[in-house]
Amino acid sequence: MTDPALLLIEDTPSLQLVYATVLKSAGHTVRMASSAAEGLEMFLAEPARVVLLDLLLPDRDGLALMQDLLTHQPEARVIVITAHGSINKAVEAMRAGAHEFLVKPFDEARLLGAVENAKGGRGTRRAATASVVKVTPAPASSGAFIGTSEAMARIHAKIASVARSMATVFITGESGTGKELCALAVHGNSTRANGPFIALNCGAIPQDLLESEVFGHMKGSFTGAISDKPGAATAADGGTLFLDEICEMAPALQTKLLRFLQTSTVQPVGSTRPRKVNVRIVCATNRDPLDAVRRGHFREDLYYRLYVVPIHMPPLRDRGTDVIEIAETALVRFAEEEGRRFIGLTPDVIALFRRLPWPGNVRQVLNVIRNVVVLNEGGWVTLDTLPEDLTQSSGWTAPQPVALNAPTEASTIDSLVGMTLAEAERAVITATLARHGGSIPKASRVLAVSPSTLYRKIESWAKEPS
Amino acid sequence: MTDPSALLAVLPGDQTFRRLLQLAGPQTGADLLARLVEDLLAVQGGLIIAVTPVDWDALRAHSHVLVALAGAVGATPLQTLAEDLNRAANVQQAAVIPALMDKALPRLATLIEYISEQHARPDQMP
Repeated sequence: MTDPALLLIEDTPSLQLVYATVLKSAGHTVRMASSAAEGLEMFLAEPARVVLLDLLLPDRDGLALMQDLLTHQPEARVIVITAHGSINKAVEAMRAGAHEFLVKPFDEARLLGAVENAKGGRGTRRAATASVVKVTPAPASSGAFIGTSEAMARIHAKIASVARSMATVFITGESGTGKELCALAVHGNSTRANGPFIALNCGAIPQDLLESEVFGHMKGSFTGAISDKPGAATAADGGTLFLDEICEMAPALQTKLLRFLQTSTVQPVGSTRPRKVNVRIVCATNRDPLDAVRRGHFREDLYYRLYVVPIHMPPLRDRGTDVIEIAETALVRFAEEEGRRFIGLTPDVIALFRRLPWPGNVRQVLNVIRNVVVLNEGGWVTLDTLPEDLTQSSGWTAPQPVALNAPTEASTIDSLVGMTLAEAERAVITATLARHGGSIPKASRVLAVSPSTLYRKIESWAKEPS
Repeated sequence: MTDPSALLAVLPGDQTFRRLLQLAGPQTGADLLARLVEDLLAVQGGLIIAVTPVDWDALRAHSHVLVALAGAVGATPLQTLAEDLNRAANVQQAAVIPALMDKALPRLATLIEYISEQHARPDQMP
């Protein structure tokens, strides 16, 4: 059965072709209109279940057109396309019945995700398991996967290339970078998308319960086991099992997990018979997994079994202006949820957001915006409306004036000329560390590299013959 | 031929652009390049007219299209400049317009030149 065609209403010819190209490459059939009048005519002639509608059209307001479309066919799902900086329009559209909105420019994954979501093709099946086993919400509700930076483009490309294989995916990244959303995206883009996605936080479950949570138990197998219970591995049969904070797993259970990976069978606590399951494993940690192996906290054989396709989620400070896109998208969503009317971020706030290092990453941005929306009635998000501790908690300090007339030896280009590139790099790192009191996190922020990169470099100097 | 260093300031990585052409295939790809050049030229002309004297609505509309076009091909620095122009147009902040235009227009010209070259050399397309 062929899918009904999407209706794309966009007046800029090249953008129309860009969106159509991406949609067609994913197997969608697309009808295209270049004006509101043409779009309405096409819709009335043959209604579409999903409409992509640019709100800024030459002949008519996109919102008014959307209302006409929904009056004619209330079950149509309209994805509105709005401009950067037109957040109020997006809020209006969502209130008027839009299914989803996209802020230009958006990337391939975001466009296809929104369309899939509107068509109802993507979703996670709820599994009847214990409360510690959870099914996460759809990625569209969060900000981690919003963003057009090169760093995120690489993540999207990697997810697209690995999703359809069975390979185990190992996601690393700081807290708040969206590791769970990444896991969900791998699942959502895989052939198992209609199967269950079961997430288990290995760090949040008491170690003595973890085995039962992963592999299940039989009635009477221990005190309190009043009925048979399928574990997360069984619940994930036909889908994906996401093991978060994998490095926190107790050594004894690591052995059992390794056996499970080798045999694809689970043996619930108290059961004598193993059961075959078909599960794809995705795991994540905010630690350096190899370091955990070196310290003896994580089994080396399990590490190599799991570390097949690594995906490193970039910290927000390495994602360019994604922070603005995330903040503006969150502002629309939270304003809608709280019934407030916000216009957008003022240039001062945008400039501040671009400068802040955001140690809590996307989660911190969402918390800040939620705070602003809850505590303010609406209008522009100004510096005054931001939480008072934002700059302190983010480790940000106002830029100090630079004494241009009194350069130090380390800060002059001349002093670097004649050095090898490695020597110059070492000099810059050393000077930056000295300026920040030896603080690696601070120096790494200034140098725009991860703290682990600095640690590695410093370690490598220590190993060099003097 | 487009100056490589100027191009680097507009299109720091061309993965997005290449990916788009790859998805489009040779025939649609050629059509896409032609339409991109036409739309970018229209934006270029529109922006120049919009600032002499300043017509905020036109500046808002053309910078809006430029945000989307630059973003679609992965020209992130130009996209950021267009966003700044769009924001300035929204709040009618005249003082920053000349400096933003001085930065945006040469980059836009470089992008148009590069895409035109790609269009003229279909054999080079992925």
